[in-house]
Amino acid sequence: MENTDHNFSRLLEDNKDKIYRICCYYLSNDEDRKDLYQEALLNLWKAYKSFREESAFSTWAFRITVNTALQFISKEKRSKAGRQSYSSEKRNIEDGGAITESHEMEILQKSILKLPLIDMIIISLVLEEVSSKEIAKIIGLSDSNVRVRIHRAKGTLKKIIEGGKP
Amino acid sequence: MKYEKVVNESKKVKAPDLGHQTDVKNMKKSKDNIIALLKKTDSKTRLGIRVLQLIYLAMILVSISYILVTTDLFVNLGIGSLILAFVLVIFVQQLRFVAYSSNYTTAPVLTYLKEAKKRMRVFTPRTYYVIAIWLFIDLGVCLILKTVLEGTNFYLSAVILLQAVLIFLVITDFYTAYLFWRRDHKPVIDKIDHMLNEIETT
Repeated sequence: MENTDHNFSRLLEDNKDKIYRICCYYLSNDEDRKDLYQEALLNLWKAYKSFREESAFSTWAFRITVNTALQFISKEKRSKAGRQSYSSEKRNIEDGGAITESHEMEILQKSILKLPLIDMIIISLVLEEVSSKEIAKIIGLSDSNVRVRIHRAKGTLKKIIEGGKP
Repeated sequence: MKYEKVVNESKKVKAPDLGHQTDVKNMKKSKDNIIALLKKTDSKTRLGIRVLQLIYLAMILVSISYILVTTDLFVNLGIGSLILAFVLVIFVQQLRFVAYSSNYTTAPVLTYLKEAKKRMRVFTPRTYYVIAIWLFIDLGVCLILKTVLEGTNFYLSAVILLQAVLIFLVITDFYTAYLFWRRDHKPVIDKIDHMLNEIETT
C-alpha cells in the first residue's frame, strides 16, 4: 500500500501541472477548475489499481482527465452565470506557491472554447505536447484522422488568438 | 497577441496545492497531503454504504433471533419475508458500492461518452429491486397481521390498506425515479448527444 501511494504520488507530481492545465482549457471559472482538477485526481486515484502500464502514465492520466472534464461540463448548470463572469485584468494568484491563473491562460481558454468540441479536446492535449498517436488512443480515433484535425485545429486557434476570424 | 506567446506563457500555470486544503495531521509534504485528501474523499462514500449495510445486517440478525423464539408459523414466514427484503437492501447497496468503485473514465473518450449515456437510462436495476423490496415488506407485514389481527374486524381492511400503500409506493418509486432522471440525467444525456454529434460530424 505504501508503495502504491509512493508510486502514485511520484507519477502525479510529474504530471499534475499538465493535468491542471488541461482542466483549465475546459472551464473559465477558477473554482470550477479546482473542482474539476480534484475530481480528476480522485478518478485517477480510484483507477490507479487497474493501471497496467500498457501505456505511459501520462497518456492514461490525460484520458481520465479529458473524460472527467467532459463529464464535468456535461453536468455543468448554465445557471451559474454569476460565477462565470471573469475579470480580464492580469491575475497571477499564488496558491501554495503555484501560479493557478494567468492572463494568457484566459485568452487561450476563451479562444479554445470557440473551437468545436473535438478540436477543443485535441488542442488541450496538443498544448501539453501529447503526440498524435497518444491523442488517437485517448480519443478513440485513427492516428491519420487526428493528425489532420491537429493541423486544422491549430490553424483555427492561431487565427482566433491573433485576431482573425476562424 | 502572438499565438506562440500565449501558448508559452500559459505553460507557466501550475497546479494548485490541494494538500493545503486538508486538515490531515502529520503530513509534511503537500504531495502526501493530496494522497490523504483523495483517500479521505474516496473512503467517505464507501464508508457510508458499508454503514448502511451493517445496519441492515443487524436488523437481519435481530429478525432471525425473533424467529428462533417465536413458534407461530405465519409470524415466522412474515419475518422471513422481511429478512428477504433486508437482504435485497444490502444487495442494492452492494450494487451502489460496485458502481462507485468502477471507474469508467479510463476508456477512450468516444467509448466513454457512449457508455455514459447507457448508464444514465431512466430506470435502472435499482428501481426494480426497490419494488421487490416493497413487495417482500408488504408480504411480511400481511403474514404477521394474519396472526395479530385475524378474527378482528380490522384484519381485512388492514390488508387492503396495505395493498393500496404498496401500489402507492410502487408508483411513487417509478415516478420519483423518472423525476430525478429528468432533472439530473436528461440534460446531461442531451449534452452528451450534442458532444457525440459534434465529434462524429466535424
